[in-house]
Amino acid sequence: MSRQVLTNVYRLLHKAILLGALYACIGGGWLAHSAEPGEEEVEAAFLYRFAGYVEWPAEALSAPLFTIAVLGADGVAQDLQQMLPEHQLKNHPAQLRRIRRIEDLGNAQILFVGPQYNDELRRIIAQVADRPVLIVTASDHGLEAGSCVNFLLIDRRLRFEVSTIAAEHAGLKISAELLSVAVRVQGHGTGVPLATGGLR
Amino acid sequence: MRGSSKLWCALLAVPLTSGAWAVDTTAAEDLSRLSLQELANVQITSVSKSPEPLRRAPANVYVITHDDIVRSGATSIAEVLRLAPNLQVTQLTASSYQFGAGGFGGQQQAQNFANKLLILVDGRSVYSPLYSGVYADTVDLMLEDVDRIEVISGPGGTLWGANAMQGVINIITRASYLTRGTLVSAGAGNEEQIGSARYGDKLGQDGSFRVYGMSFHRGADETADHSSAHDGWSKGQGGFRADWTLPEDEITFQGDAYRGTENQPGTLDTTIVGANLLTRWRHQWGRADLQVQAYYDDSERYGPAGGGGFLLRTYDLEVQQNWLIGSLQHLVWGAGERLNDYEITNAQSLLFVPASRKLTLGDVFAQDTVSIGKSVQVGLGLKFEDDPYSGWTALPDLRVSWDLGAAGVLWAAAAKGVRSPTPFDVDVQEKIGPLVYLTGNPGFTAERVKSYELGYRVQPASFVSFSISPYYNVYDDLRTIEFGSTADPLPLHWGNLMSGATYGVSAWGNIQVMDWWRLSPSFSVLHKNLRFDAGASGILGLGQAGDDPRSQAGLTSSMNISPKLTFDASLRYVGSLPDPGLPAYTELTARLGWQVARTLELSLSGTNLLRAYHEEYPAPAGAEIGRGVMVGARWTPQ
Repeated sequence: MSRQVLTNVYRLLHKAILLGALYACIGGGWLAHSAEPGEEEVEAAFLYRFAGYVEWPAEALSAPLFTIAVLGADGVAQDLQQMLPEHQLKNHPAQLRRIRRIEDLGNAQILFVGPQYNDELRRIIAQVADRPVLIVTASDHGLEAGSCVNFLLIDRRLRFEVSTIAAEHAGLKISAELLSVAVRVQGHGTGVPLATGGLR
Repeated sequence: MRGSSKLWCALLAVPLTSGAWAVDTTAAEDLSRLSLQELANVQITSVSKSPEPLRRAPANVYVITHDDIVRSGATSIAEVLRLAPNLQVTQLTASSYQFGAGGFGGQQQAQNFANKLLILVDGRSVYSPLYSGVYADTVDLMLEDVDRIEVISGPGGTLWGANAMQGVINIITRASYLTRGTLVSAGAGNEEQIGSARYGDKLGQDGSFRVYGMSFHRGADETADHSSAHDGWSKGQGGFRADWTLPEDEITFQGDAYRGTENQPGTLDTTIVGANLLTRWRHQWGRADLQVQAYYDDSERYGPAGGGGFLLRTYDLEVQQNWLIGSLQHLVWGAGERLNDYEITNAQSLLFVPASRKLTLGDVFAQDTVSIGKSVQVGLGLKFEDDPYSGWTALPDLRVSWDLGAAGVLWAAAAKGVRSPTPFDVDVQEKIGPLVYLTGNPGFTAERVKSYELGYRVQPASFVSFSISPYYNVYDDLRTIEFGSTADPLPLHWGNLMSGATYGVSAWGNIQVMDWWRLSPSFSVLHKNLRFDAGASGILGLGQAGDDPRSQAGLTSSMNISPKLTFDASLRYVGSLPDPGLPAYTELTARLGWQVARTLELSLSGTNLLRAYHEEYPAPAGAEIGRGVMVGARWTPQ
């Protein structure tokens, strides 16, 4: 190999190393941005997870399927659709129900109200009030409006707050473990011990 | 070099494919394997989707989110407000701004100081009751602790409070349970140096708190001949917030105190001092809640000796109750009482007679929103406001929204708004030497508007949404300057002899061009058709109602270049000002943010980047505002 070729190879490698260093600095390059999940993916994962930390009255679980209803929030519904079919929740096969009106809630055990419905939260929640449904919202006034669990985006992390009062009204028991992760808890008590088999 | 370009391709392909692989491994199903605690710690791509519009709100609302604020490159609330397309923001000098919505953004020559907006900080009114305008230099917050800013254009007095004739700016800070830990932020640039720090933690079993301090210096602008406008200023501010969450109650205490010094052209400095303390208690039972809020606000401003000043103390108590009646009716009612106790130190050329007063402002209101069928909601509100000079006024408000499902939401509103008389309208005396040339008018009445608005919001595809809102406003009793009498024209006095109509439209949208790139275009246009009533002097012309641009447009771009690199830019066009005239201008603000480590973000930002200097309001009231470049760091140790 001529000296010229070797020099060129050396220069190229040098550039490549610099490029690699730069690439590492800016965190993995232009297209790798999606390596971090979006808010909706994490919301979907939480919705799926919550079931394991909540106890429903027996009659609320009498249907053959465990249903998570999503009002609006198409992105969250899409992500849930990917994870639900493979899993069981509360010993029932899990299913997703996408709805556009609260009247179509059916016998779902969990309801997620998409943020585009935030300005009518009180009305929506009133229509579900006193039924054994875990109402989850993503609003600045979620707990005020009567939801059980409310997502908050804080410094690029998705956190949540819990109202055990709303849960009591719905006849649900929230586990201490869920409460310990919440940024704040509104209501009485420190939660019930995790029920056996709750995680699956 | 053909060979080497192939090699380049190969080199590039490795990280690209590894990036793509990374996408697959963090797909939704894998997240579902994480524990609750792990999920709560997952770092989320910031601004990865269009912000959801408030779908059914029957008002022209624009929400500036926390992310928008911290990524904008703005360092003050006034600069952040430029992000709201339904607002016009005009910087006069380093410390003064005027804000307008649907016009009426002020005209300095006629001493019309942009006086028809309500600005609230966590429920505390911050417009000055002395003249209904806003001292922008008193409204500063640590931007990292601001949760969002809701900008509502159109009359909002029925629900929001006094002086919301053209709109409401509602600034909301984060509850202290959302701001735990340490945050230190600093920036240094040619126009400005700023530093701030906050610490938050738990307070017992049920509570949390934060304390913060901030300080900045903003350098002087220039005059037309590029000598210093001598308007630089500095301010220090500190404050706290504590929140308790009890089973059925939420309690908040918060307060701030500040002191600032402002250079003035051709004279000594002005000093601003202020402090406030607010408490809010919310009690919830069943499907109703009761909120009681009280605050004290002290605001002082002292010019150089002989230049006048004031001390204003405000005491405010408000009660509000929400009732849900069945599932179809939402009733809100409330009442409030405010005392403004002020003492003015009169200047030689600007006097208030009397120089001190105790003014009380009271109100009672109710609003009922009823759902009719599945898609229609009707809201009817009525407020009675008792202002100190003109007595009781009724402010009715009717709003309807119609949900067309995937085809969007249509809304319409009709409302009345007023700007009530202030000491500046009633008690003022302005002098040149011994000659009194302008006086307030004890018969001055409220400026009034009847507003008719329409709006349409739609999200035609998952990656695009837009909102368009035309309006038609009818005005009466707008402030004018009138002669004393035909025999003795001086002193002049304020009158209420202008009326007419304005109409316009504001629109904005969000386009998620790519997963990592959002574009937000906006525009607004305004036509004014005002006239003097019979008997009016016509002094200073119709332009005195506000030196407003006929059009504004903006384009904001938000990019997540990589998980660690963000780039935001905001281009704004402001049409020409009519009277006094000023050509249209276009300016650009941008910020590059680099998350060096989990605890440290560095940034490079620039304001007004397109030209070395630009004017937003004609001299002498407006200065030449310089290009600003700043490097910043934000440190959040865990």
